[in-house]
Amino acid sequence: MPDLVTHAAIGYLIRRPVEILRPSRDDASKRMLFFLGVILPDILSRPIYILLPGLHDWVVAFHTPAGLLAASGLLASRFEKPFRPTAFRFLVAGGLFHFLLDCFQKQVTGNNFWLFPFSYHDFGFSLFWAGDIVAFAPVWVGLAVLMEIGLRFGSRHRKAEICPPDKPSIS
Amino acid sequence: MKKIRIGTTPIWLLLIAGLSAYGAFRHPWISYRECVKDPGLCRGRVIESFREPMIGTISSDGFILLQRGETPVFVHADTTGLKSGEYTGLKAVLREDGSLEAVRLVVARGRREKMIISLIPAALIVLLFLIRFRFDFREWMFYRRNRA
Repeated sequence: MPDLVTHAAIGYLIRRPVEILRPSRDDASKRMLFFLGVILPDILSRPIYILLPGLHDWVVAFHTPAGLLAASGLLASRFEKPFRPTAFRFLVAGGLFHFLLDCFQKQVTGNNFWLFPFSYHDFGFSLFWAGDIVAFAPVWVGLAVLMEIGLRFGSRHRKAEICPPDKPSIS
Repeated sequence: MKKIRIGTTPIWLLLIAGLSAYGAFRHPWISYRECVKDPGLCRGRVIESFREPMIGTISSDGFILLQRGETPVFVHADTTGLKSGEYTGLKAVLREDGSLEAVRLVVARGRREKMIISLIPAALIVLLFLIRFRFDFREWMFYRRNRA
């Protein structure tokens, strides 16, 4: 997997323009769920098998789309009822984006078991090693910050065009 | 007093438990631990699962493989470009003398850095999530803080 800085920053670069182009109610909550989804497959599996390597095979499922659906369903079931479908959708969207980024990475052993539990076929494209892109993490963060500044500046500019300040009255 | 509403939670928990158990008992790879326990089981098979494998002392014809919770084992391999203390991706075959013969070996460069820097966004996202959502311990439920 790429590191979580890369996952989160590229997720931000994808998610924020969508919010600007198609604003909806409670975008900030949806964004948080999307980001939680982006890191969910890794935070459910990596810490467990790094600290307790004997449990590796037990947590393989958490880094698969089936595991993501189940974990998102479990999390979403603990949200207020009207918000559950939204929570589920955004957690899953974030998680699927995670898998999309992961599949570009080279692995010695498989990691992209998209059809688990039906198959252990690895769907990786093997384009780069994880270690090769760690150095680019600050670039993605920098781009995300630049984009946020640009989006905020643009939105302020648009608001000013729609609602121009009152002209001073001539007395 | 508010009650904990169970809802669909047990179904998801059962599903997670089932998937987890399936992954544990029905996987195509063989682990080093399984091989050491029952060498007959893995005769000639390529071992793909090691416990956080790390390169120890390097010699001319191989290196000592360090794993968490396992005794160090010698791996016969081309040591060009290897560096002691680095994590590694490894596929290997168990020899009769108990050592390993590397089939594929890649140094996982930057793995330690990757783990360390990954803690920052993970902590930040969880923190921001908890700022955005309040957890009610009586109901075991998340609520949006900005909800009218």
